[in-house]
This record gives sequence, structure tokens and C-alpha cells, in this order.
Amino acid sequence: MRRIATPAGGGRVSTAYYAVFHLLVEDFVSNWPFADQRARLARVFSHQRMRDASFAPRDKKNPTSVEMQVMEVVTAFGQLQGDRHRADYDMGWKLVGTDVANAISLAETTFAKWHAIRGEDVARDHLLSMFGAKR
Amino acid sequence: MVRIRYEIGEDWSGQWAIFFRIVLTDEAAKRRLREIATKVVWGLAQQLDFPAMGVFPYHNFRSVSEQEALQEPAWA
Repeated sequence: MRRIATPAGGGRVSTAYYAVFHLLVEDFVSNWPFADQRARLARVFSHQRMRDASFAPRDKKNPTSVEMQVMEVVTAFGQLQGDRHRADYDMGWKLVGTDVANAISLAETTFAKWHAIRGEDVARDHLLSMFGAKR
Repeated sequence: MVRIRYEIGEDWSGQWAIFFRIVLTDEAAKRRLREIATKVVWGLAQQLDFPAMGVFPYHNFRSVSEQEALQEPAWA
């Protein structure tokens, strides 16, 4: 019989989410010129607002490769956040090893994707939306 | 991939969501999870317009062995 993840697995799911959360937040605040204000600026980020920030490609039927990667980051962020919430608060969730492996894999992939697109206008614009800026 | 089940409901934040439960072969779950998960997530997004449906998609995976151990009806 395969091993079913212990509660420690839930901790790893949370860690995977927070790694991506901090990746995005730190990317944003690192561009703020006043270093002594960056920690305060980071605390403005809200988990739910980040997840709810809408994104749509300019041409829905023909998204650019950067837009597709932004959509993948958005989907992965929401998945990791939802899993993290369930891991921490849903006592009925029967977490298995595949959940943990998938969360780690998703976080690693999201890091790679974000590093590839973080300088693109579309990605920076979406990060601003995650911060809470209205269009 | 062995099978997909789904349900629509509210997620932790009260937003409407579609929860996919995807059962994989043990081999796929253990050795090709990243590849298979990416294909499944991408394939579903190609077939279903989640923003138009007003739902956020969640995808959870488990292996046949894990499901056999847990025997959860929702995954059967």
C-alpha cells in the first residue's frame, strides 16, 4: 500500500504556496525605490485580491505566448492557494502524496515561468492588478 | 489518466469553482506527474471556457493505489 501523506504533507503544500506568494510580492516591492518601505508595501498584498485579479488576453482566441504563460501562472497561483487553504483548515481533506508532489511541481514550474516573463509588460501589468490597482 | 470526476461548488473564499478529481495510474503519478498534470490542466482549459462559466478551476490528482487505500466515493 502506498504511503498516505501525514500532516507534514500539508505543511509542504503550504510552503509551496508561500514560496510562489513571496516570489510575486518580492518581485513587486523590489522595484519600489525606498528600501525601508518595502516590507510595509508587501503587507498591502492580500491573498484573495491576488487570486481574484482578473486577466484576459487581448485576443481571447489568439493569446500570445506571454499571455498564455501569465494565465498559467494565474491558474497555478489559485490552485496552490486553494490547496494551501484546504491543507491548513479542511480537516476532511485526505491529503495524499500526489497532492504534495503536485504542489511542489506546480510551484517549481511557476517559478520558472515567472522568471521567463517577469520583465514583460503584460506580466508586470498583471502583478500590478494583483497588488490591487484598478484598470 | 484513469478517470476524471468533477463537481461545481464554492471554494474557500466563496467564489464559484469547478473541482476536478483526476485519478492517474500509479506509474503516471509517481514518474510523470508534472507532464501528465500539465497536459490535463491544459486540455481541460482548451475544452472549457472557465471565465465564461464563472468558475475557477481546481485540479487535484491521486493515484489508483492512493484511491484504493482511501476508498473515497467522490473519486470512484
